[in-house]
Amino acid sequence: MPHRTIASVLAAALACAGARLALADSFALIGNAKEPTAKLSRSDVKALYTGKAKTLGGSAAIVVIRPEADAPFTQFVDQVFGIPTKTLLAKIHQEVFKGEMTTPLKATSDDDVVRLVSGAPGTLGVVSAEAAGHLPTTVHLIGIGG
Amino acid sequence: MLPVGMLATVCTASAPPAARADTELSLYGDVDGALSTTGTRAGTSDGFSAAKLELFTTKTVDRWMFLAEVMFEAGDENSFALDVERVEVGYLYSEHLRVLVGRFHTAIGYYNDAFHHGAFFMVPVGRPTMVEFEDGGGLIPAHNIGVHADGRFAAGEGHLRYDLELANGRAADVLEIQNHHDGNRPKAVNLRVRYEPGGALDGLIVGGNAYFDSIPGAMDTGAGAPALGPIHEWIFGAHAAYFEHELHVVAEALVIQHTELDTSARHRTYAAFGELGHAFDQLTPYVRYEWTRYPEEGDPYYGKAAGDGYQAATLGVKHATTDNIALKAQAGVTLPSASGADPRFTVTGQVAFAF
Repeated sequence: MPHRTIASVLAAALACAGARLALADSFALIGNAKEPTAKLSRSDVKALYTGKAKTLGGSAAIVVIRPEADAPFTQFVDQVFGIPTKTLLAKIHQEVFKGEMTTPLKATSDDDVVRLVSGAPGTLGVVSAEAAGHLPTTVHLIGIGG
Repeated sequence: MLPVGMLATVCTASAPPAARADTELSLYGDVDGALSTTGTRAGTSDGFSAAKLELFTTKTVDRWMFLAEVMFEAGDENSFALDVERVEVGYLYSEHLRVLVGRFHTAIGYYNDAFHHGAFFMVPVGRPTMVEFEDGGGLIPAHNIGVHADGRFAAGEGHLRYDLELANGRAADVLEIQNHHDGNRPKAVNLRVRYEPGGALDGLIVGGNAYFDSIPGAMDTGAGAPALGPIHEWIFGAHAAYFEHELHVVAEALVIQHTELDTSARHRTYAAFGELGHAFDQLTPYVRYEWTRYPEEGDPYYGKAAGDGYQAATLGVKHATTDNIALKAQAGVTLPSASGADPRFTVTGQVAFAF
């Protein structure tokens, strides 16, 4: 079935293109499956993680954070924000205090992140690339580009 | 890059209940020690201050949010009193509209609703005097009670953010905040508009304010203070802030006009400050310059004369010791406008905390 094979390859290419930046190196950005956003710009992600943007696809946005020394989260912060994780966590602390940002949910593992992101539309989290390979249907990958 | 088969993996794990942040109580405050002198024995004071302990909580459930900031604060009489600084209940309609009701810090300039009462988050020891709270000699209506709306729109590479407020506004006494009721019918209206550019200027905020209020007349208390008729107030301001690349930059300027409605006398006050710092790991050295000019005839609402104007320069360093503790040391000089007035030198140390 050459046509089916070509279609599968094209579908694979398109899906991977959308997920490429999310899966760069050792982390992946995931969102709740009820919220269909497939791709966010780097600027959008920064705005969501600092309270400037308050919605994701029409739902109230809430982000999941991980400990300062957590490898996937550290790499995510380094690549998207270009700052140390400690600095981002301090910024989030201040934005919550300002009333600009919903208190983030805290996770210590990929399973925690998946569970929390599954819980409500508008929730965003970071998992390891390894965990991104076997996500439940309650979450989906979000590409980061631009 | 993962293959499609992996992306399409279906897991049977059931979703947990909707994620919600637990309500947490945080504690903020600071302990200060200061020496202030004009170079004379009579003009010298020193001492320690543990005058602020703040309880903060916030909770979001779906699109509803609640926030409270309550402070135990000691004043000149050296005893603690309880102050409800912020109580806000809000609803997020969309990215373009969030509505809050309650008592809030007026969206005026940058400092007032960026740092609130959290010395821990500020780089210097305290606020610039022009944006101090009502009881700290500030020029702005720092607190207000009413309705606040804000929202954000894409504009080119960046975004426009607006804050619109309808509130009780000022009381006849500049120190008083109209928590329970408004002393007159007209309400204060405040609009702040900001542009947040994207691209290479991502992180920059530039904005402006327009604030209008009618202030009720003051009663003659018989205590020597003259009665003051009703006043119309307008405030126009501009501000800029930038916190990327380890930089800390804030600048604000205000012009405030008080018009006495009985006599049509107008009194215009000008003020500005600029603050610059740079973080080197945990250390952030900073400088600040402040300038305030009261009208020649004085301003009866502030109770200030032209000689009460000043310039001030501050130099200091903040050490972000832990995630919960910041140590600061600062030295400053204030040069009063009054001819012949001595400059005042101040040295301050601070331990600010957030737990």
